[in-house]
Order: sequence, then structure tokens, then C-alpha cells
Amino acid sequence: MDRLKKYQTLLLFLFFTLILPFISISVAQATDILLFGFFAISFNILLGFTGILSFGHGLFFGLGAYGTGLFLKYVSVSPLSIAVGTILATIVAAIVAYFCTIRRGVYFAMITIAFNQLFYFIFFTWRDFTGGDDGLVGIRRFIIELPFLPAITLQDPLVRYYFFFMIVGISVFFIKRILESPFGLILQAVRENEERTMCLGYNVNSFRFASFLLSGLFSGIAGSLYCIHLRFVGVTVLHWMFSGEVIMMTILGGMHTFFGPFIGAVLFVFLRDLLSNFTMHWPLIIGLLFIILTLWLRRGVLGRLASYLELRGT
Amino acid sequence: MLLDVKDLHTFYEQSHVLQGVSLNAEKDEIVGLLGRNGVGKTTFLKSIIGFVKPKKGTILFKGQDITYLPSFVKARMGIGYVPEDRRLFPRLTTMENLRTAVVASGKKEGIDKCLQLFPDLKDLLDRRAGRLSGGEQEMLSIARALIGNKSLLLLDEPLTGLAPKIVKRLIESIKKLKETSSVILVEQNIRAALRIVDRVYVMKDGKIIFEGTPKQIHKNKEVQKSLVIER
Repeated sequence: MDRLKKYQTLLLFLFFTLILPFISISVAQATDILLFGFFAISFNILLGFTGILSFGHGLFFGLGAYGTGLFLKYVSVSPLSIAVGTILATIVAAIVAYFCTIRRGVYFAMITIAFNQLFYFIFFTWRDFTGGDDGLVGIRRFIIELPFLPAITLQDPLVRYYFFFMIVGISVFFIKRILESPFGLILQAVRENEERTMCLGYNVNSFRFASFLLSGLFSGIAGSLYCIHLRFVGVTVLHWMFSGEVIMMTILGGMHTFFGPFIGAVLFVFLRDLLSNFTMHWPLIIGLLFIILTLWLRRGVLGRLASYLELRGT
Repeated sequence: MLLDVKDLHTFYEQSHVLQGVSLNAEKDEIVGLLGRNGVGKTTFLKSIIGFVKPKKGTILFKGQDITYLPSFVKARMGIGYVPEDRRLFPRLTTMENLRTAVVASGKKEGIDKCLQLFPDLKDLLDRRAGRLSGGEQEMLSIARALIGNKSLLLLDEPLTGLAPKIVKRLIESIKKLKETSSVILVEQNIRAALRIVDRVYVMKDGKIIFEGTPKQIHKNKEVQKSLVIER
């Protein structure tokens, strides 16, 4: 019973994402929510749990997408493409982390933006390989062949959604376990007070590096799945503005809670899809709403709810 | 000798804060470092723990030169530091604050020992550290620094700004620390400090002007004047 209580929020999340295709406007919208929500949870390993604000995290999502897309297009139509995209994102995350985790504040932020824009311009100009600003097209989806079972194609949106659900579910479980472990506790200590954490005997830079790496790895998985979802990768996923969107989702939902960023993604995608039916200036309206909600709900939607429940002793 | 600091010179940019400070501490001893505001007491502690790098001088801990080692290495060697603003992890609970020290030291029984020394914390384990009172935060800060068998504790003004009742309890707890650790105590509450320490150094303008026992301070009018001890 205690174990069930320990995992109750995770089970709630899994239940919600299980029924999401049936309560969303479309399966496509549900898939967007699932993958952006997963990206936001991954990003929050760095922001909410370690206290590090990266302005270039779209880079790892984008590299996951491009790595998978390029593999599917030029090498092999195989599930291995997910591993390729993830590994590419992780390697670059390690390189970026090496340079920026020894820096603090505005210097850290500038390095993350710089790397993000560096790769944006590489993929933008390398038209012959990446498609440039036309994007990477002609990506085929692989077939999943399991022993003693019929082959599973990912053409049907609902089948595809539950394939992604399985990977996201397992990943989110691992992220939760990591953040609830002693390692996760020290990440939070780093967030609260770096000097004090050093006084306890921790090499703070090593923990910052590890957090960055983990966040980049899982962001890469999200990007990889997004490529398979759309069969297309637009170069805008590598633009710093896309990095800004995941920051918005995370803060909106509540960066000091585990599932807050996912709630932020739900709100973001829902509002985007709703407002784009009425105006092409929907980013302006979302931006204004973000300002208002941030001023009113400083801890984010889920953070505010969690505070309220804590005050009530729940 | 547990700690032997020789001729320490520390600068903040062009400002020469520590001007040849020497101090030592033996095992199981409480050494006081007293002086008015701004004389360099906190800078001295920060130089030992490594938050500020000295420009000249040596710091020997258990015979090993630790002058330029990183802070986390010094902490692992057995030096605990409790800063004047306590610097707890405010969003973590009392228990989680203690657990961060356990992860580093690997000594789970350390929490039980701390709770014996500070029994008031037992009822506060689920409360966020940012919501504790000043005295409770100070107890938690010291308790956390103790976990992991620290042989030397650096306490920066642990009694400042606390109610007299809490000060009295903390004084008793600090005296008990001697059983397991040596302590360098920086304090502005001179009367309280002189009740606890075995030996005392007095600083003025970045230099040590007195080294001796609390009794000797009471006989030295010049030193009393620099400390503004009221009769």
C-alpha cells in the first residue's frame, strides 16, 4: 500500500496519458502534448531540480530529431534510429556541459544560446544534407517486428501514440527514480545553495555536469520520437525561440514539481491549437497570457496547487 | 596539532583583509576568534574552508597542506563549516537537509547522534527548513555540519541574533561538540563566547593582537577595549 502511495502521482500521470487521445481534440494533439510534456519534464531536471536555466535546450531536442531523421532517411529504416538520435543529443550535451557547467549566471546562459545558434546555422546552411529551411523530408517510419507477434506499423496515429506512450512512460519512470534518489537530493541541494553543498563534500560542478547530461539525453529521446511522429524535422526546432517555449511550459506548469512542466505543456499546446483557429498572432496572445499567469501564479499551476494542499496539511 | 595556520594573507581585490594571521587549534579544543565587525574573522574562516583563496601563507590540517585544495575536498577530509547566515536548503525539509550530509558521509547513524544532541529537531523533521525559526535553523545547520565525523568545525557567529533562551541551549550544545570535534568559534557575542572557549584569539584590522585564555582577557584592558566588553 505504501509503495502504491509512493507512485500515486506517476500512476495518475500514466492514466492521464493513457486516455489522452480520447479527451484531446485529435490524436495528433495528444501526441504533441505527450512529447512536448516529456521534453519539458526532461528540461526540468536542469531547471527545477538543479536550478540551472539553459536557454539552448531546444538544441538537444532538435539533435534527437535530426539524428533520427537523418538515420531513417539515409541509412536504415529501423528502430535503431531512436538510439542514434538520442546518442547524438547526449554526446553534444556532454560537450556543451563541459564548457558551460563551470560557468554561472549570464555566462552560462550565453554559452547555451551560442551552442544552440551554432547548430541552428549549421543545419540551416547545410541544405544538401538537412534540407535547410525547407526541413528534412522523406522520412519513413520503421516497422516493429517482435518474435511471435504480428509486425506493428506506426502508420496508424493511435498505434503510434501508444508506442510513444510506452517509451515516454518508461523514461518518466526512470527520471522520477533518479530524482528521488540520493543523487536527486544532492541536485536539489545544489539548486538551493552551491557553496553549502560544497561544504558537505560534493563536487558541485560534477553534479551540474551530470544533470545537464541526463536532461540532454531525455530531451534527445523526445526529439527523436517527434521526428517519427511528423516524418519531418523543421530547422526551427534548433532555433533559440523553441528553447524559449520549453522554458515557458516548465515555468507555467510549475518548475518545483515533477509533473508541473507536463501540465504546462498541456496548457501550451491546448492554447496554441485553440488560438491558432482564430488568429495567426497566437504567439503574442500566449506570451501575454504567460506574463499574466506568471505574475499571478508565481509557482506555476501545479506548484500553486501543491502549496495550497501543503498549507491544508494534505 | 590539528590545525596550524601560519602567516595567512588574504585579499578581496586590492583590499588586504588578512595581514599575516596565524592561529592553531589542538584536538578536542574550542578556540575562539573574536573581534569587532569587519576585522576579517569571517574571511579567515572562508580562507580555511576555501571559499576565498589566500595569497600567501599555509594552512596545515592534520599535518597536511590544504591551503589551495577545493572546498569539497577539505570537507571530505573532516572540516565542517557553518556560515553566519546558516545557508540551509530552504525548500528541503529538516530531514532532507540532514540526509544531504548522510549521502556525503555514508554514515546513517550520524542523524541519530545529531538528534540526540539537538532533540528539538525531532519534531521538525517534516518541516521545510525555510520555515524554521532562527534558533531551529542554527541547530539544524550545526547538526548537518556534524554528520560525517568532522574533526574540525568552523562556526561563524552561531549565537548572533538569537533569543537568550536559545543562546543558552546552543552554548550547552557547542560545549558538547568538544567530545567529538575541535571548534573554531567566531562570535560577536563576546560574553557567551568567553564562557565556551578554551583559548581565544582577538583580531583587529586584519591582524591577531591577542592570544590567550578567557581569564587573561579579563585582565587585559587594551584587548577589552578593542572588543568593547562592557562591565
